[in-house]
Amino acid sequence: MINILLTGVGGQGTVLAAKILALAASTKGWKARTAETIGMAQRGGSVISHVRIGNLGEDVHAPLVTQGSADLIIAFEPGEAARVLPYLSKTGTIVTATTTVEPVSAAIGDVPYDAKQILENIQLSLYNAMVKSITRGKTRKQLQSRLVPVNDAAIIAKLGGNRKVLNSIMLAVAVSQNVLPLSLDDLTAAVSACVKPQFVEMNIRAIEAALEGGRNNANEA
Amino acid sequence: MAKRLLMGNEAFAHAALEAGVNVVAGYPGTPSSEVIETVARLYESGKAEDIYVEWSCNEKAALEVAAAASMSGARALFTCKQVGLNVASDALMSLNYVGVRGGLVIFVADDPGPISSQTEQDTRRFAAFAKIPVLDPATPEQGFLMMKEAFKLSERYSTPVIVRPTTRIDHASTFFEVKPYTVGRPLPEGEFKRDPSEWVIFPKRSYRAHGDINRRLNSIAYDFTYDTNLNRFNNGFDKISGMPARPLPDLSTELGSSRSSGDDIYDSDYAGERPKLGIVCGGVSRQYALEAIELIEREAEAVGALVPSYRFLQIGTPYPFPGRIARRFLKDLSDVLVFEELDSVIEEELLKVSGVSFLSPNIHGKLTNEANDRGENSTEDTAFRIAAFFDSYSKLDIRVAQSYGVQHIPLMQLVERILGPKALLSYGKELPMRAPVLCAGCPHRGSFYAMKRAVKKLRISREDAIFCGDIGCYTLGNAMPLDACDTCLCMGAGITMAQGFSVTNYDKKSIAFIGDSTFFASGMTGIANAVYNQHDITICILDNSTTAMTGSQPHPGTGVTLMGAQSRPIDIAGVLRALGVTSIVEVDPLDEAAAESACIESLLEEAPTAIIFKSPCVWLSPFGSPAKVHVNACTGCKKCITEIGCPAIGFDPQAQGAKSKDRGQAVIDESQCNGCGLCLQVCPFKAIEILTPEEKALFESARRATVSGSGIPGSVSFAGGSAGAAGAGAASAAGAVTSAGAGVAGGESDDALFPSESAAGEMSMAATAVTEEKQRGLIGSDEDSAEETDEPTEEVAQDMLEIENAFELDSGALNLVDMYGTDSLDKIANAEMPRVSRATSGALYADSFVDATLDVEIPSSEGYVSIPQDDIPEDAIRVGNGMARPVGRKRRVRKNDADQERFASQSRSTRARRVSRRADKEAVSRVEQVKLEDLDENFDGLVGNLIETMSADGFEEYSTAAAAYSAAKDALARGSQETQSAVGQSEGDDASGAVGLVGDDAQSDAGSQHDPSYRYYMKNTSYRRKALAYASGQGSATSASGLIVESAIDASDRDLSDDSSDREHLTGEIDLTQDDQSVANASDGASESVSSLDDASDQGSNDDAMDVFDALNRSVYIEVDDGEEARIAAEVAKAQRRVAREEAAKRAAEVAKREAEAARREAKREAAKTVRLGTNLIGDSKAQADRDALPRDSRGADTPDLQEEQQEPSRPSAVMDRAEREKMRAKYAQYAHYSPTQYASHNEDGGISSEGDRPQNNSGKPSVKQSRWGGRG
Repeated sequence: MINILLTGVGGQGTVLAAKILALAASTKGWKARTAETIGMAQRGGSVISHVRIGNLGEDVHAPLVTQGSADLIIAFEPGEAARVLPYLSKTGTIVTATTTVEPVSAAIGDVPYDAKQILENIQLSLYNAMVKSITRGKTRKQLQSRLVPVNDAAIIAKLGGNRKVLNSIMLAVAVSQNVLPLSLDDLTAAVSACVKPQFVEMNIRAIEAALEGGRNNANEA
Repeated sequence: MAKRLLMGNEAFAHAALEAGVNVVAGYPGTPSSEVIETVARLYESGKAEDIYVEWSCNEKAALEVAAAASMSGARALFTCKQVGLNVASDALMSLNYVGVRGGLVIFVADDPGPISSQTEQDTRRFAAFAKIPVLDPATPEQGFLMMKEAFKLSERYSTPVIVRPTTRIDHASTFFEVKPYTVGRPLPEGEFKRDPSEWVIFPKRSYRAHGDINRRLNSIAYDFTYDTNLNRFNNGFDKISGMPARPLPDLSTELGSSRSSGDDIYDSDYAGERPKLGIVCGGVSRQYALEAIELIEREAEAVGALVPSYRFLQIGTPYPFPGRIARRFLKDLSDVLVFEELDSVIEEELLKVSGVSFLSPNIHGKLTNEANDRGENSTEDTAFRIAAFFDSYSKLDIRVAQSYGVQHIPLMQLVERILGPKALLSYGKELPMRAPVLCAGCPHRGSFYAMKRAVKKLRISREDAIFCGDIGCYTLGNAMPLDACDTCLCMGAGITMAQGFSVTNYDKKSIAFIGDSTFFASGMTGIANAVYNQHDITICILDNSTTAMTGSQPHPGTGVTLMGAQSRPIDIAGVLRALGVTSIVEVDPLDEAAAESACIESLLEEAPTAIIFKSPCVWLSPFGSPAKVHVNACTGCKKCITEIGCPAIGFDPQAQGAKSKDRGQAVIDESQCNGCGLCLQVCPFKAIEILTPEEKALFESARRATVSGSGIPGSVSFAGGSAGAAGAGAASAAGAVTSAGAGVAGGESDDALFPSESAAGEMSMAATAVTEEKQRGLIGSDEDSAEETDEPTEEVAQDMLEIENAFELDSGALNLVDMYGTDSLDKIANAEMPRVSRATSGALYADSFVDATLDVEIPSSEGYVSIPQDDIPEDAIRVGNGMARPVGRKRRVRKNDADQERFASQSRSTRARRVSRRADKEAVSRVEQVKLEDLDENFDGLVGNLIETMSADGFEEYSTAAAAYSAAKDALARGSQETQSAVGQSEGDDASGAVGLVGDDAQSDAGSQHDPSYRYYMKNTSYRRKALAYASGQGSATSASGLIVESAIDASDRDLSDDSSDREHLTGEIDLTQDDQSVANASDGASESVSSLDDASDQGSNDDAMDVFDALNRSVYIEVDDGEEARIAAEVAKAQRRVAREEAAKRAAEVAKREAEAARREAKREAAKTVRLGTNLIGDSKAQADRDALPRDSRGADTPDLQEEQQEPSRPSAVMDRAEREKMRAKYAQYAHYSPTQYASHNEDGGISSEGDRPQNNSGKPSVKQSRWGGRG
């Protein structure tokens, strides 16, 4: 069973991303369920899409991912990544965009809303959880929850500034983390099947740019 | 058949189509809307034929449409959300009695949580109440099957059937095999057959029908138990520890067989273990429970713990309840735990069955507080509860565990270990909430803001204005900072609740907000009620041409139908007029000034009044160019954030600019901003501007260049972006990175001054004119722009330098302003006269003219004012039902002087508005000929009137001001003469060529200090300051600062108008735009000095101009004693004047804007003829064409058509004129005897009151008979 949580701000395209993942899974012959927040929450509120894939041929009962069980969280906004942290499993990976979308409540209040700060805090939480588990006698290897920040602004800028391709970028980075039993080809095929024909090329370029960005990051590291 | 990923609601639609449904009708409501949308989509694409589908006006209409279709033998589907069924319930209750012919399925989406609803009502209960069978799916797949079965069931028993999924079914997706093409079922028995004994619901028919209903419910319960197509929804299994699950046998196998096991699930010879614990689920809770049990079993297996045996059952047909299935399920059990969302329907039925069947299991659930009493269930919660249930009630199983030799570990521990708070990751820090908000660019934001401003200007405190909200996107108006939704009950209730408030809160103003779709759904009756009963309310109709909240469905006001044919859109204003609303104003909510005056007008008019805020939803209109923050002008006051709360505007505490010091600055997320322009009108410092398409292109190309190098977090600061853009602008324009521009183009964000950018942009235009080969890079090749490194021409570099110098000099000028005093930004406007050529100068004059005229207007009790307190005979106020009864038509009886004063000021503002409107007209007609003498005359008038009406103190203050004013006027006269000659000069220069112009302008900018008009401005300022000092000396520091702010507002309004007309990139206009920048800077300077003056006064050390502004506003609400009456009078007059001036300025600015626009167009045509040489302007003109093509351009006046329409934007388009209104009033005067006042008087005095100004009536009270008519039969 693969549990994936996609989160972001209403209008960022998490719903389509969830659909693409489910489609990619179904081409493998697996059962899949997705569930989304539609309606009130779409108006600039937090949105979460759940994707559950029975990759071992098992039935998928509940439409929603259980807390502590997400193998992968794809966050389209760093603050939203922080919000869904309880869903991440001990071995889960969290791929997050780094461009913030400042909530109105933050703009009104005096609390700064800073991507770097948020990402550091997330990293700290992951680290604390790991330390706690190690002290309980588990090995480090068992606990490899990871944070993968994506410099989405740079990639999007390279692509011409259209933020609509954010979901393709995030999916590409997520798939390239080897967390999902899906290949990039599976992803590309699913994207091509899901988006309108005139946007296929744009999205495929986005996937390529995302991977390139990932390679660059890896080289720097 | 292909497998397709479908959302639950899409699957329901497919199921209905596959069942041959002929008619589908409903009203949108989350989470039900996608069903009809899917049917419509399939119809449109030709994949579904012989089908009729519609969005009805409301649920009641929809159900009635579906009902008649069904009576004609067609299969019909009605869809709504749970609260929608309340609206349709009138039809539903009766419909069940008369019955149906064709299958009628009522699809009702419940919303546990509630996620996007008003209530957590349970439609299973509704079904029981209406005596209609209901099906309750656990998954979309099951729902798909249920939908098909429901049609059959409906036809079998001539009953409507409810299918009730919940949000997690509706909005969950999975894979379905659906038919690629469906056809509606042909009507089996022809069309509707007339049979009054059948279809007319008379008491006799109802009596007969009730018996039928009761009988058929028994039959249906039987079918739910024994019909394999239906009892599969009531499935379950036995799970004995260590054994595979064993499905509960199908009861239908018993039918006709000799086997009589009673209620035993097992054969009589079964000697194995029987479960003692049971779990029963309804709806999606079944999935959570299965998931939770799986989780528990997994964990238990890992540690070798034992999970007790249990029996599991889903009830998918909760009404009529399949009692036999339940009885058999309960047979062996000692304890049963029930999971269902919303109400305890199944739980209660199980109790009933237990009692009837003499079974004694303990039923645990909502009633015993062992399940959620509200909201959604979840796997997590269910896991904890099942673990606790197993631990508590499986004592026997411990022994079994021992006998099995298995360890006994409490399951709760296992669940805690993986789902407990300690087990889960947590962020640990506080995160700001991200509640749903109105979208960036949402016109509702403008509507609410305008109304709030209007209320404030009428000096009605926010507590005294009740904003009655309604259901729709605009309910989000309740979020901070708009905070403009005080009540919300149900569809259409805003209008009627406002009426209730108006009769119980005499001192408050009730304002109702309602959307266009809601208006047609249930608003019209409320309006009829308001007109009929003469309720004093103002109705705001927020017309965004769609049903936005549920995903943009059409409605009667759009004329778009799902069947493709376009009907004639119903005109809301026409409906209002027909319903008898006499004051109707239509206004664009994104035009703040117009919207505000429309609100003021409407609030003061004879109630009930209506304002139609008309502007399409952002999802319907194309995105305009985004706005951006003027880095050099933003003071960090946060007004744009705290006033309108647009999600596209954030705050960057690190951003620095010339005016913001360390406060930080607003930043605009250009990916969200659609350029609605509201924030431009809110910003008091004119620090926000809309990017033209060209600038946007430059901006983006620059960002591409700068961002690609930046690392995480990668969010580009706007300042950096501007710097890049400026650089790129310069580079691409002249093909040059000049020495002057290099610092900017280098992308160092510290140097990112917005003026530099714009200067560069304009430079680029200049260069366009001269070096047309090079400017190809301007728009065409973004990528190349940075690579263009041709040597700059000497000239251009020089100009660049001078432009920069000009800005520096400006800051020097600001120091001067500081030294000599300040307030009057209107004097800056005067100083800038040279640039405001032909079109705008008239407006400026007109503004002064209006200003002076307005002050002459002194309060009078004529017109819209209430009866002054003195005129009201004491005994005219009656107390009935514990409430003060209103007197006469004007019901607002003021309690005290302060109130009366407040109300009087309202009337003043009405008059002021009228005058300003008149002045507006005049201004338009005599743009060229306004004389300074007018100023004189009016000013004299002002002084004269003031003498008469003011107290000594007030007069003294005003006479000082008057002296200052007349001095100012002299200065103005001289200044304008000189500056006008300067205009002539610069116009002459126009002809001399583009590059030359730039040079000239830069120079004139640089020399602005020495400009004669500038000197006069300084002089004026000092006069003004004197007056202010005097006022401050009197202790009215706030009023002084009020003057400042007032002028600041004036100036910024003018700037707004001027500024919106710049950046058109025409060579002939560079002079204008250039000056614009300097004026903007000067106005910034003045706003700075506002703060310095504030410091000087006793106001405190706040250096933020906003504080002054707020202080002024506060001062308006400060209650004062009688001794200060004179001062108050002065203040009131000032505040009044401010309001009027603001409005007048805005109106004048609008006129000016249009004029300027027209002039520019002409200039542009000429320029295009002469200057355009082939390709150079193609991009430009294309962009312009695109802009022209936009239906709603952010700049409003860009499109000629729009311009036409906006000629008088605030003019009520559908207002009945006064005479006509009087006529109407006279006509209806005969009905005056229904006046409650008269009635009250009549009762109290034992006779007819002689004081009333209405025709007398003889009966006093409407007869009982009369009042009984009209109710529901």
